[in-house]
Amino acid sequence: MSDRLLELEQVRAGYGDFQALFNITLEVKAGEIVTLIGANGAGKTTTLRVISGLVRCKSRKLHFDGQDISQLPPHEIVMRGISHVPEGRQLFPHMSVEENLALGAYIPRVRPKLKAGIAEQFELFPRLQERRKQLAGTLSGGEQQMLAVARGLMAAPKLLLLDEPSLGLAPKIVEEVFAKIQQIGKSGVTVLIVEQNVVDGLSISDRGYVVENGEITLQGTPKELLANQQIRTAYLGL
Amino acid sequence: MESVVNWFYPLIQAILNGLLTGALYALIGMGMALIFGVMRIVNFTHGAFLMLGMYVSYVFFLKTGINPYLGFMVSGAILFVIGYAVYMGLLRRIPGQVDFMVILVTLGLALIITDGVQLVFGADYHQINLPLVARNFRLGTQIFVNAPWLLSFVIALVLAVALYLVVTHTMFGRAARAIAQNPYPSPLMGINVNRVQAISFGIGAAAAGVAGALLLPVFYLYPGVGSQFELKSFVMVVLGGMGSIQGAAIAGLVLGVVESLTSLYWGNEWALAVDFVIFILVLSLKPSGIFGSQRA
Repeated sequence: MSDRLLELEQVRAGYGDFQALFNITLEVKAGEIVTLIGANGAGKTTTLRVISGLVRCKSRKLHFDGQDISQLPPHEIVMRGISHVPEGRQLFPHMSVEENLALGAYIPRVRPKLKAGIAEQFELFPRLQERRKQLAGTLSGGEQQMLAVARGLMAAPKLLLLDEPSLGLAPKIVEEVFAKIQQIGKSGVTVLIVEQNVVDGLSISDRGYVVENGEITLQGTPKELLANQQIRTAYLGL
Repeated sequence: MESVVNWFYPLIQAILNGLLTGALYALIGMGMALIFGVMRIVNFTHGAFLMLGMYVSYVFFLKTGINPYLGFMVSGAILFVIGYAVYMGLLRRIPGQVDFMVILVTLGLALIITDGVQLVFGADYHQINLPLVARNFRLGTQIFVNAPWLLSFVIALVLAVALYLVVTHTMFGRAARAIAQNPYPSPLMGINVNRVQAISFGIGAAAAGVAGALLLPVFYLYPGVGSQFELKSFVMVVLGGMGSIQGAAIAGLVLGVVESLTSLYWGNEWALAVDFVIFILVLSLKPSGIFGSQRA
C-alpha cells in the first residue's frame, strides 16, 4: 500500500441545482500538513464536507487509508479515523468544556479511553483545563477554537480536517492556534487545513493546493506557492 | 376551628390531588419535550400515542387480567416500537424535515390511528373495574388520597426521574442533547443522528403510552381520549421552556395543581380554559418558558 492516506480524484459535488465542486483532485500523505487555499465560495469547505460525508459526491476516487469511503455516512467516516473540525467552531453551547470533549470521544473505539483523552487535551490546551466546567458558549473565540480542535482530536483521528481555524480570531491568537496545529502535526496526526489566511496556513504546511471555482488550479510547496505571482496578486494583494 | 376546616383542608386536598394528576401530566409533557427538543418536531400524534397506550393496557387487562399498574410496561414497550417505526418509516423521509410537512404528517397519522382504533373497538366509552379504584388512604381526619392515583403518581415519578437521568447521564442522552443544541456537527462526532432521533421519538411515544395505561383505571376509554392530553402537553412544553424535559416535568406538576385549584374555586369547567390562558400569556410575555432554559 502507498503512503497516501487520503486520495480524491475528479470529485464533483453540489447542493441541489448548484454545483460547487467541478474537479477536485488531491492527495494527502500520512504525516503531512496540507493546506487548501482559495477565495470565499471557491469550494474549500465543500471539499472538506465531501471528505467527512456531509455532502454526497460523484468521483472517480474518494479513498481513505486505501478504502473507498464515498458511500459511507458521516458517523462511520469518523469511526474510520477522520475528524472534521467545522468552520465556525460549531460547539455544543450549553454543555461544559468537558462534556464537549466527551462528545468528541463518542465513537466506541475511544470511549473507554475518555479520561486519558481529556487529560491529553488538557495538556495540549491548558486553558481548557482552567475552564473545564464552563459552558462552551461562554468561552472566548480563541478558547472556542481550541476546544473545537481538542474535541476533534478526542476521536484519536488519523486525519484531522480543519476548516478556517483562524476565522474571526485576533492575530496573536491566530499565531497560537497555528502553533498548536503544528504541534499536533508533529505528534503524528495528518492534517488537512482549509484557510483564507494564506501566509499563516502555508507557513506550517508541507504542501498546498489552490482551489478556484470548484477546481484545483495549482499545487506545490509553500515556497513555490508564495512565490507564484498569481497567488501574490489574488490572495496577498502584492 | 370550624373556619379552618372550611377553607384549609379543601385547599390542601386540591393541591394534593393536583400533584397526583400532575405527575401523569409531567410524564406526558416530558415525552413531548424530548421529541421537540431533539427533533424540533411538534408531535401532533402524541395524544394518539397516549390513547394507544390506554387501549394496549385495556386489551392486555381483558386477555390476561393483569392490571395496568403492571400492564403499563407492555404499553410502554409497544409504543416505543411504534414511535421508533414512525420516525424511521415516515418522519425521517420528509425532505429537509420542513416544519409544516412534519406537522401535517403527524396530524394525519393521528387521524389514521384514532379512526383505526374506532374501526376496531367502536366509538363507545369503556372502563375497567378495579377494586383498587375505590380505595382511599386517610391522612389525618380530613385529607384523602385515592389509591390508584397514588400508585400512578409513584410510577410516573420514578419513570420521570429515570428519563431525566437517561438524558443527563448516559451517552445516548448526551448525544440527544448534542443534536438538540447543534445538529450540524453531531454526525461529525460519530453520532448516528437518525438512530438517536428514532430512539428519542420512541421514548417520547412510550412516555405517552405509559401515561395512558396509568390513566386507564381512573378514566374513560374512547378513541378521541388523547386530544385533551395532547393539548395539555403543548402547554407544558411551552411553559417548561421549549424542549427542556425537566422544565416540562415541573410544568406538568404546576398544571395539575392549577387545574385542581381552578376546579375548587371556579368550577370544573374553567380548568381547561385556565390552561390556555397560561399558554397564551407565556407565549406572548415570556416565550422562552418559565420552568427551564431552552434546550438545557
